[in-house]
Amino acid sequence: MAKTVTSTSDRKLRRLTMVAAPVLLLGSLAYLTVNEAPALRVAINGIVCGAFLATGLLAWARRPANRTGRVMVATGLFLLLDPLQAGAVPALALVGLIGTTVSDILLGYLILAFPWGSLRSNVDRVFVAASAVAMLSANLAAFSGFDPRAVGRDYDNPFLLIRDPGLAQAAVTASRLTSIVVLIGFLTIFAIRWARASGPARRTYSPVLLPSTVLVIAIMVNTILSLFDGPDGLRLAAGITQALARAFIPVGFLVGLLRTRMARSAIADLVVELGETPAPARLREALANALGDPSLTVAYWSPAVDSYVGVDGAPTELPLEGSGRAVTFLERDGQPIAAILHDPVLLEDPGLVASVASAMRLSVENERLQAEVEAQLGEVRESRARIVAAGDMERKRVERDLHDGAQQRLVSLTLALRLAKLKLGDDGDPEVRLSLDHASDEARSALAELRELARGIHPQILTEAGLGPAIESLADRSSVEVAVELGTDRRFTPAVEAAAYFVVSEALANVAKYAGASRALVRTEWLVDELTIEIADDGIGGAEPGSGGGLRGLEDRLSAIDGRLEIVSPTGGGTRILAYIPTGTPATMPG
Amino acid sequence: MTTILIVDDHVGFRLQARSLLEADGFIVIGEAVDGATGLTAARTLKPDLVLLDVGLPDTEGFNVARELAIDGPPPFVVLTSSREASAFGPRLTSSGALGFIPKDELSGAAIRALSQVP
Repeated sequence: MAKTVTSTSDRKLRRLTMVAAPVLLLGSLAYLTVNEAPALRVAINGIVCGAFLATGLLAWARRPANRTGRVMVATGLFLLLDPLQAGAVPALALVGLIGTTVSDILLGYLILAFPWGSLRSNVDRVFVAASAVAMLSANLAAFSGFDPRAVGRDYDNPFLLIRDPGLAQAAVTASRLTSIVVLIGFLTIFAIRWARASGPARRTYSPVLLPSTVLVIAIMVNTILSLFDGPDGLRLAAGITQALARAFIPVGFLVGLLRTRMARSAIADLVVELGETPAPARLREALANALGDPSLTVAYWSPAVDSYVGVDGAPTELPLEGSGRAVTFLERDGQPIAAILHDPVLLEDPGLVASVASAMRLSVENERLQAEVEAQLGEVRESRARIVAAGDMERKRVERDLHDGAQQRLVSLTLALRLAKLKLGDDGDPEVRLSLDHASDEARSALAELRELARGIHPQILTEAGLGPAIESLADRSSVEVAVELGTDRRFTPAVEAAAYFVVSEALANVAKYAGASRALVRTEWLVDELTIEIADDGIGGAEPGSGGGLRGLEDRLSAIDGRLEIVSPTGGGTRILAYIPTGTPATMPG
Repeated sequence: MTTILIVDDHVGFRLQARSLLEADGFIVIGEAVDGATGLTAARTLKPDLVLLDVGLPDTEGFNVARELAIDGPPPFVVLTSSREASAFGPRLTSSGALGFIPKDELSGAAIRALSQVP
């Protein structure tokens, strides 16, 4: 594979050629015109040389690593020497003949080297070299027998070596036969290449191979017609066909180049498509489209069975070398991920399969990372729910401890004081009586405060009687008038009930503290598997979830059980808080 | 005089309640430590009133009250707890008990106000 070389000298040479080529082209055409060539010939020469030079320069600029562009330019430049053959200067005519022959040989090389930019097999190399030697020597031999005076021209050929007209004619015939043999060789190679090529390969070859075949056949017809002195009209037609086919070859190279570029942009599409992590079957289709190879298949590495498997999970045998299929392996950190089984012709564009492989590797990597993140997210969600549940358990335990400990002692103290007062009787010391009353009041307020504290930590009524009664008890204690509409008396999991309870508790506390409301409404509704809690007031509105620590904490608590909080609080328009809590399957115990 | 059975697992509370109620003119005819013995005692001793703790070791006071309600009155059942009434919500009223007195508010007067016993 050619290395990418965009050296400064290469670029300088290309720019120089860009400037020089039009000048040389004009010079070449001018020479033809001066020598009174027909306008058709001038036009054809201009088109053919121009096509080679322009497309060659374009290919050179776009794919500097591929030799095709430079060889196309060289082919065009050598072809510029063709008009020299039309002049009356034998030395220049010789240069023209050599130039034209070299141009033909270069064209043959180009066609066989397409699309790689260099010859791939030894057969090709030997054939091109042998053709070059044969054509050059045959043409030179013919030239050395050419006597201008014999055809009525008014100058001598200083290179005239074969003076015998019979021998000279034989040299010309030999040169034409050599041409025919070489052309048959080309046709054979074309036919073999086409027959062996798969679909995508034919797609690659066709823009060049098609005009090349026409050209070769046209030259052959023309040469055969010259051999047998065929009719002039036919020879002219063959000549024009030959010229047009020659002009179409560089266009074919250009189309081939564009197809490669189109394939590259198909990879951009592929990257986008793979970004959406398609299903394996869709992935195969996307890769096949991007690479233009419908026969493409993908095998995934399965560590479980230590082998490549198909989309259906069945083990897949990878094709052996020389089986007509190529395999591109995808690896990450030395571990196989997948294998792409495709037409070997795709390897002719070295970047193509590699880009597709990178795109796919990226996608597989993305998928893996995404799965990892999802797994981690799942773990975080679970642990958050566990933390909240553990917190609830801990609050329950603290409430229980308060109940069993301090609360019992205070109850006992109150009863003891009441008994003491009873024992003291109505006739007892009024001062003792007073201080017993005082102590009793203290103990009872201590007990009331303790109960308030315990309820804040964990509402016993929630465990005892469920959400509805717990909400009603919150409403009863609120300083604002609260209406309660219970849409369900079901019992839910402790986590759901606790979350719902604290939403109502926090919301009603805010109503009392900030809302300046006169009335509030608490509504519950249970539909299928979601509990909705709504707390609305007629206060000043303007509540923001981010500002107060309370609402923020509620959001956290709700999201721990996959619930969410919605706050609608336009300034002056009251506040409406909606909590949506997924309940899963409820514990179907009526409250 | 009104007879009363105290059902509570806390020995301290039983002693205090007995002293308090006896000082207030009730006759405490028995004490029980859990729901099962409480039920048996109530059926054999046939007190006028049962002072029944909500949180018992073997069952909830509500269940005992419901069983006794099936037997038919008397005895009247007064539930008690060191928690306040609002901690139990509607379960207090649906249990068939006569009423509820928080432990710290226990007195002969409170019981009489509920049950209208002499």
